[in-house]
Amino acid sequence: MNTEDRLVALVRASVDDDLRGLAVSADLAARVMRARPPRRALRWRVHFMVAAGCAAAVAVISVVPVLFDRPADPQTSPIASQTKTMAPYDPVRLISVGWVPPGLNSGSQAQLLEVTRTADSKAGVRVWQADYVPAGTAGAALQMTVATGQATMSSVRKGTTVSGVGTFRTFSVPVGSAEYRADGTGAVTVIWQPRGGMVISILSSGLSKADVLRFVRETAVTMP
Amino acid sequence: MVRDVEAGFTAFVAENGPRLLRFTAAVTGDRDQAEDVLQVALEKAYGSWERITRRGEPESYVKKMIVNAARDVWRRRKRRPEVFGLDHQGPSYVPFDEIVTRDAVRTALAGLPPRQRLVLVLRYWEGLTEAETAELMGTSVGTVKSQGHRATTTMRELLSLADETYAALGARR
Repeated sequence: MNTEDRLVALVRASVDDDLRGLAVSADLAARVMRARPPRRALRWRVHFMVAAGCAAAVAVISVVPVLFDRPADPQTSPIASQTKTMAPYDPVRLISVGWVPPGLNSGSQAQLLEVTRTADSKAGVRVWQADYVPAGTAGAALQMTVATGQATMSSVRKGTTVSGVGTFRTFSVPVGSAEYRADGTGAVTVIWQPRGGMVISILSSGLSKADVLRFVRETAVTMP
Repeated sequence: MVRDVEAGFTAFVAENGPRLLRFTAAVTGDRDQAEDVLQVALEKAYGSWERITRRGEPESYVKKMIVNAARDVWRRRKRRPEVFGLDHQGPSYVPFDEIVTRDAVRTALAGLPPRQRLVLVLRYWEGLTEAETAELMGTSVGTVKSQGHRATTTMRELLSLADETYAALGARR
């Protein structure tokens, strides 16, 4: 056996050895289908809604100049408002936490306070943070961070890579989209975008995944 | 229509799931994360399942998604996949020399940069040609060749070093 063949055989044997006993969960297909319904089911409804929305927008845009007969204001024209970037705003009054895992301080002891960081303001983001810590000396902890402005789920996700490993999975929330990651060491991370221009991230330790997801689902966000 | 898609997808996962999971674990080098990565890839595939099955060869399409998902995981983790431990080997009897060799190969493989490791796994374990590997990785044949060359050079160096170490250990015993 030449060197090349020996290397191929060694790699093959090593990988095969590592894969021994690997088995797929019986509910894998069901989990996938629950997580993401096929596009086809929604396609016609979405097409219809998009077409109706476009038709309405075209109608408004074409009627307004006729009615008012004045030059378009670049500040309020559809193109200007569409390309306008999301400005950072104070989210404190918009967020209401409905349930806190037992054993953690809440209410006035866990308030959203603004965190000022030069890098954030340079990136067009404002950040608020609330810490839910144990009433005693040790135990579980949860930190909620709210970013407004140019924050996106992917930018927040990139920022959380240092705190753990694992894949983010989507889960359902009353408003917007959200994903969680439980890395097996007791740390659960959630990234939730209830609306454009606002991303809420949750870092927790010592709490069950169910408790963290409940905390998120029972947090109400009022749209400004 | 949705029920047809669901039934087709379920049958696909039932038939190909074990093979795809092995492929995912081999590609990622991390059996603990393999099912998560596979789920991410399958979720993406399921979103366009009708289109994928119309085109034919859904397995190769899903494999491409697995490679992409694994790449995303590497980027997010910003570290190399973990080394498989000997714990996973199970109770079967393996001669000591073979364990030592496998351990050396495993460590050398895990020490490679993810892209080089991926090329080796696809070429040597999956048995793909350079062109097929390039297609699956979404890169050029030239890149596959250069990454593969670097990977084999590093592996040979590491393994000959390991051989020397074990030979020295044997001489001392």
